[in-house]
Amino acid sequence: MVKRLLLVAHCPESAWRAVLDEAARDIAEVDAFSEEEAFARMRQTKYDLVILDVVDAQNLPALVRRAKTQAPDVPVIVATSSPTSRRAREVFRAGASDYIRRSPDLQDLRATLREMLSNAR
Amino acid sequence: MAVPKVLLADNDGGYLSNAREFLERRGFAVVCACNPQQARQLLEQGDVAVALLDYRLLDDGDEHDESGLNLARALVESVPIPKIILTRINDRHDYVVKSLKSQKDGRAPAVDFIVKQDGLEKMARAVEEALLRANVFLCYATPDRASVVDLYDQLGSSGLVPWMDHKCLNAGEQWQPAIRRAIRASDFFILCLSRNSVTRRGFMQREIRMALEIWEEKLEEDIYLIPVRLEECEITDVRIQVLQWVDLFQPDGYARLLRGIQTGIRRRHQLG
Repeated sequence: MVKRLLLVAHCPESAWRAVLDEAARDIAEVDAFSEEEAFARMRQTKYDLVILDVVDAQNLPALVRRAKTQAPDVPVIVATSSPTSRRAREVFRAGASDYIRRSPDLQDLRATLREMLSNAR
Repeated sequence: MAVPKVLLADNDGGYLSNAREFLERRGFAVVCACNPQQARQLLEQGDVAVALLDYRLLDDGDEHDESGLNLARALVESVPIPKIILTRINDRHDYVVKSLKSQKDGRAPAVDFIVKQDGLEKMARAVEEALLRANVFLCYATPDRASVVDLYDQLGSSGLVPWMDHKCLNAGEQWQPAIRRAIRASDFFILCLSRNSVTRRGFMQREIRMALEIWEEKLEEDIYLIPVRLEECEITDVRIQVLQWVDLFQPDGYARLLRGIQTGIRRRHQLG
């Protein structure tokens, strides 16, 4: 069965979306939506992995909790261009499975996706 | 009356001394270690409730030193108490990820990560919060799975660590030894009862027997095996009838279950 990945992004068609699409090639189908639409879609579609790529870092823990409440057994990855240890702690405590730098490194990203999707139930 | 024992492992003698005093004023018993070997010995004695481990437990100046983290990783299964990683190295998000991200076995090396510059109060609160965590095993009959999944989610949201075969067994894993390990590692055993379960033969009965054996080793005051009724049903097992059960189908059912677990956790720390 094909794995489905949901990208929750402030800008669903960002440059990083193209990187993610490439990294997910042959691994998963990627759907990308802005926040509210993404959570609405989660109610209709079973995703295997959720990636949060949002600009408002302060809101991240709440978004992680919201995603985990809606789909408790789906791993949530937080992607950011400016990782901090404080934010990392907050998102893990909120239930995130990983916290990654939004980088163009395809190999790293592909490895992360494989790891998370192999743990998906 | 015994108090919870905290292990403080740090190669910085000054911090060790200040943090120890702070935690003792907070009401904890504190044992200290200044290197990984000492810390391991103290942890393997089996009476520490929470461990605070310095990330670079050997040499703060060595950026390759991960000895505190490695100790937490090595003892994930054999010393399954909450561990908190400490560091004075500010803004290394990768340290946080290594400490709090689940490993291949599904467990993270630590439950929290504290930067020392954030102060002793924050450190003490992390210890207090870690002490209220508990592993909760969910025993149920397969037809009741949907209801028990809801309970699993609620317990997780309450800060507890639930275990349920449907959620926690990995593909390809041998389920019988995994379930036995989970029961032995659990602080509480929730027996989910329904008209489906009360007459059910099979592995569920084996799980109940294991839990009853563990319960026999507990003190009279300990709370360990908690029967919860998912619906109106008769409890026919005389060994279970002596325990106060919770009716989850009542509006205050979950709140009563949570109070029972929290009382059990506090009582365990008080009795030592």
